[in-house]
Amino acid sequence: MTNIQYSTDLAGKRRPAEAMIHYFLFFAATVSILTTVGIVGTLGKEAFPFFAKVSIWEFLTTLHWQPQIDEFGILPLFTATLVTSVIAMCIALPVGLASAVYLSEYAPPKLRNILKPVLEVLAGIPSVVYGFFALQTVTPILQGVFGSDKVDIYNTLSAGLVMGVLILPLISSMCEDALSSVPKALREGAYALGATKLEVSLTIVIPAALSGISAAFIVGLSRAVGETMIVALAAGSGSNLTLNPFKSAETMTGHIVRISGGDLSYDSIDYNSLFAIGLFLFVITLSLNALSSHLVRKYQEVYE
Amino acid sequence: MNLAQRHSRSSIMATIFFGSTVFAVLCLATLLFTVFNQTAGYVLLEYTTAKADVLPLDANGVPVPLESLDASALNSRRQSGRSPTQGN
Repeated sequence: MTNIQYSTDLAGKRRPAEAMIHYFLFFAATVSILTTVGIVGTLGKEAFPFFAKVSIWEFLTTLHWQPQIDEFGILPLFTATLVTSVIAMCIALPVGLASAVYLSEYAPPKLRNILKPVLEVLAGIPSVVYGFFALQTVTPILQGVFGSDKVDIYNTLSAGLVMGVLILPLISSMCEDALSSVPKALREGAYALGATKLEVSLTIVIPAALSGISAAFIVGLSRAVGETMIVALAAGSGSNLTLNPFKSAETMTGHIVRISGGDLSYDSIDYNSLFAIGLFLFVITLSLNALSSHLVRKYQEVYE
Repeated sequence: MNLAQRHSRSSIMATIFFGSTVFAVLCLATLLFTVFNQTAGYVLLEYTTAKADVLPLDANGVPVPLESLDASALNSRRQSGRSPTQGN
């Protein structure tokens, strides 16, 4: 009775601190949205003069990127980005998912409490360190294995492999979170029916956590596409339309880094082309994020 | 599939899952080892290799002991800011 009286008394009372928190949170959300809008607006504004001179069709289909002779084909840069991202995902997806299954389903709690933070340390190392690691450690190993005449000093394979290691803890951690959030009752039901641990993992837990796992995959892919320092250091410079991972090729992000660090006159077509590449990257990552949201909604399971 | 096969398949996959985790941890260990080797390892190398000859050379290229130089020669050498390995 006393409690009811107390809450009734508070009902009409003004709470300035609550209102301040409300306005602060609204302000923070607005700033973050406006920042994104501002970045996209700047990209569009600077890319517009480029697309006024170079058609989107030409931009997407020309086979060479040589601004000196007015050839602005994104394909060589896009292909290099694709090659490094695919190599990275070939490492990160299976290993990340398998380690997530181990941590979630097999590892004893004590071991999980040690291994998970250790793996997450990988995600905290600056990507420039990974870039040097690719250049100074992985590339010599690849040259030793495949021959230095076949593997260039700068190559997309070493960049992709190391990028896979970079993305690995991200995917592992996100997948582990998704797997751990599956209710225990589902596992126990399967065990009660005589399923082995593997069968429970593959037929019950992974399908139930599919939305989180697919989101982790897409976020990892977005990270791979947008990763800059590793490819700038290890994949090489100069656009090269090749699918050979032993050859040097420049990715979109690597090209932006290299060109924007040099002498580039403001408002030239070269300068605007960087924003066109940035806009293209933005469209790719936005599409991947939209796909991720769609997959999460499509496969999301709600448990009571 | 009988029970023994199911359990053996399960244990094989458990090994693969564990191997993946070990692979990830080994990647971290290799990376950290490389970083430490490239930093502390270089310092170790620098201090363990033989010292360069710091003696200045005369006109004929013969090393001259520092104690045999007079004060003005020593002073000019100090003021020139030359490293010992640059000779006279």
